[in-house]
Amino acid sequence: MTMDTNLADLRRVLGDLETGQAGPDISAILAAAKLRPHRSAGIALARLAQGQLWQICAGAAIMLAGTAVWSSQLGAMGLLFASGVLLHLFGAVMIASGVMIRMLALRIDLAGPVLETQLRMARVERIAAFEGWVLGMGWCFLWIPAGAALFYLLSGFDLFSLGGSGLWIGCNVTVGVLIIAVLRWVRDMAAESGNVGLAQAIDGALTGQRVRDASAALAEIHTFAA
Amino acid sequence: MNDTASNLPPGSQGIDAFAEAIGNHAGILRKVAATYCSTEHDRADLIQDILVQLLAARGSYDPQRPLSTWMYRLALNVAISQVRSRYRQARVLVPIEDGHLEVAGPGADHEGRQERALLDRAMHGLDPLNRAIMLLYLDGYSQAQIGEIVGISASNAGTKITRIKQQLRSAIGLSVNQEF
Repeated sequence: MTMDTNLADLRRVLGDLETGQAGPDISAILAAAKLRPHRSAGIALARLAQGQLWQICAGAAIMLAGTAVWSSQLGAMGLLFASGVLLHLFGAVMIASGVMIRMLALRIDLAGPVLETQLRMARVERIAAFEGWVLGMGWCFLWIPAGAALFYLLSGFDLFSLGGSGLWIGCNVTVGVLIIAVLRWVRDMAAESGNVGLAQAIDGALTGQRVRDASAALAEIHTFAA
Repeated sequence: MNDTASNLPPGSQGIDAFAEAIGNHAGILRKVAATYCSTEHDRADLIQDILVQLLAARGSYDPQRPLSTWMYRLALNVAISQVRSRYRQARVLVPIEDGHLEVAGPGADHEGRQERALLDRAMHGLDPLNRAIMLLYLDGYSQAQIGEIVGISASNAGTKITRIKQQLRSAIGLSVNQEF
């Protein structure tokens, strides 16, 4: 390839693509697309909106479970009652943020001006990334309340009655810290054994890599717009 | 070629008639795919995603407006979204050599392949939004049209084209003499 390329060469390449002398056969792909017009496209926005639907359903189930627990404990407002309230609130946050992000994602017009559309997409993706990180980290400290509430719903037995409040709160914090420590250890092991994908996935989950990526994309668009 | 789909009833285009109108502008899809994807597989995937979105959004198309502008906007938005998503998944940029020799398709001659590799090489160093500007510029769109598609002023589009050409000149030895 010469180092002295003329823009006319590049235009000739595009000309070949215009006339169909190069590139994929569009008619075959178009025929396939017509057969399944409602297929969810593989774009991040469609996946994001779909993911929020699952989050809303999960949030509703968690909120209902939380409500069932705290409403049965109105006479004894101990740790089980608090667990029910925590789950109720967590489910409500999942639903609210899921509805908000889904609405924002669905309102984006892909046929709008590119800069404006990309800006809106990047903002929604950053909000979703932050929400995902906060909710994900929140679960590290909700295992015991969630487990005790689920156990109560299934068996009617209050696990918290086996020990004092201080013991359970201490266990909860300890388990949360342990989960993070174990994830870090697995991440280090994966990195040492050359499993870069796993190491990066855990690293991303722990440090909010998606939030940083989304922020970087937003910054890039702002720089372009400036 | 008629650049509008004014023979279609506004807001309720039949899928077959609309697909035919899109097919008349299939070059746009090939160009966008060649600009944003390095491999044959990725290009076919991207074109399919764009087509699905085009067909799904056909109700919002105003037949009095140029179809090519509407198609370019949607195609570029889907392509940029896909590029960012792939980058996040890979966490690394696709190596410049990866798949470049397949760009022209299996039946293409050696010269054709080299020319397609040229396009890849020119676009590779540009961020997704500047790639869009460069693609539209190479496709013969005016600064005003580029501004309309991208959503910036015509003068801003002109400034960005100048900067991109300077960037390409230093990066790949692009010659901008004669016609430019």
